[in-house]
Amino acid sequence: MTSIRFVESSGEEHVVDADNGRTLMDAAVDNLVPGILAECGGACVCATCHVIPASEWAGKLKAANEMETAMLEGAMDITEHSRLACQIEVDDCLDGLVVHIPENQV
Amino acid sequence: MSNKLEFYPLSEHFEQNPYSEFKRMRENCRAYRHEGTMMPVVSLFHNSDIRAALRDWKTYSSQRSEEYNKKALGDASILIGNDPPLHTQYRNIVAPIFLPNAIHPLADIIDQQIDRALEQCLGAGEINFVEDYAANVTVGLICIMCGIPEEDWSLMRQMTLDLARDDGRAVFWEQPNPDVEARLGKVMVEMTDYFNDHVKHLRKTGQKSILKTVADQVENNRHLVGLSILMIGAGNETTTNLMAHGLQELIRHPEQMQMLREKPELMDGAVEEMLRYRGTIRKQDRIAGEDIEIDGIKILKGESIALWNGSASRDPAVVERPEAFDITRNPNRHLAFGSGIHMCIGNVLARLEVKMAMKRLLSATSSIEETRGADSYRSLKNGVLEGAERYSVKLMS
Repeated sequence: MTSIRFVESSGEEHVVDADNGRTLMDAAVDNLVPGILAECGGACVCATCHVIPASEWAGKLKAANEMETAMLEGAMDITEHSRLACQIEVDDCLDGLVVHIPENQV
Repeated sequence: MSNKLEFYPLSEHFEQNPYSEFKRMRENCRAYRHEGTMMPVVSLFHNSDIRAALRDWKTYSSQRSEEYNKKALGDASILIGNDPPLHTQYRNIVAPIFLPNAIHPLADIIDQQIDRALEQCLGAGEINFVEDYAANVTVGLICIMCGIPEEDWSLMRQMTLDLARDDGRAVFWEQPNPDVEARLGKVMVEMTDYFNDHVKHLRKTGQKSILKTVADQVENNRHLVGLSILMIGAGNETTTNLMAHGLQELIRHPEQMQMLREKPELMDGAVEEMLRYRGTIRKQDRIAGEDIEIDGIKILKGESIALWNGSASRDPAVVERPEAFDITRNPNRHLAFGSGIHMCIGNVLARLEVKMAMKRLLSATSSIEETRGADSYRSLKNGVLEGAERYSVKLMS
């Protein structure tokens, strides 16, 4: 289990234990973290699991592939660190990861 | 009376009682093999089964045959009726047009369409809400996006209705329906001619529109025409019906209507509940990509599978008090837009225009009343699709 801290735009925090090998999006959805819609279920076609990892974590995540980058270009209020939670696989290295959830997904 | 479980989605009984029929089926089985249909077909009703199927495009394929398409959307099945890699190729072309940062700048155009519709409907006495308000907003918007001149908007609406009337029903046909096939064939020929000319015009004039963006990236003409028809049709029928049925539920639940009038900021959640409760697309079709067995029902490779999203969104396994219409419901994880690689590409546009149109409708009126009692609402009589033919109401300013 890997501990992930999701922070809503209101500041409310949700610390969840995520299964290694599954995605950050799965961890959010399984734990009913608000603000992550993840409607396509990880197919990388909807951009509704947009998250912004805390800047100190940005370099520790595997880079986004072409498909994720293309979807992110269409998301709302993106930042240089924006990612799609469905494309980030959880492993031990991510223990303690902090990700911020944007106010709107659609 | 036989105790055998039966389910006829093309019947008058289903048309009148779709959600109690879904409930009955959910409570009695996970999978149901239809008897007497020309195509072998199995229906699924449970949220978990449908969600899993939608996310597994290999086992639950969307690949349609030419023969099947003749009974359905023809060339307009290009995105919804294909698997990767063809699906991916076209989805990648169309997706950027409908992502949030491309859609939100359209708010001014949506407002203009709402202004026009309100002007026509307010103080006009009885109106048909479906056409006079809802379709007025949705058709105008998608046609402006596609660069279609105003004189052709009614043609686009008519074409949409012609396609919608029988959409999704063919899989349950028990005998051939040459009349329906002929009508669909005629519409497709007309629209193919129309869009061939329209795309030529867009290319010649360089007029910016989403169809021009797509045309610049699609060489296959049949595919281009198919995508055009799909964008126009899906761009107005689904949202038009959602507005009509959303209004109907608000009128049926006056305490919810009152709450929404007092707190317009609840509209986002209200639209999600309208999607869950009365989403337009009740069913999605898949084809077994391999032999499958669900709950003792064997489904052979190539057989059809009907995934009832409309049932999944009311499954008590994932939704508390599923038969209650509650605009404050949170979370609201419905399947109105499907899921997986075929998830509705227009979901952002649909949400935005319905939220804006319903918000303005409520702020511009003091009350909305049905004008013909029990006959105020007339369904499109499709059943598989939640369609409204007419909704007679009066808007009081």
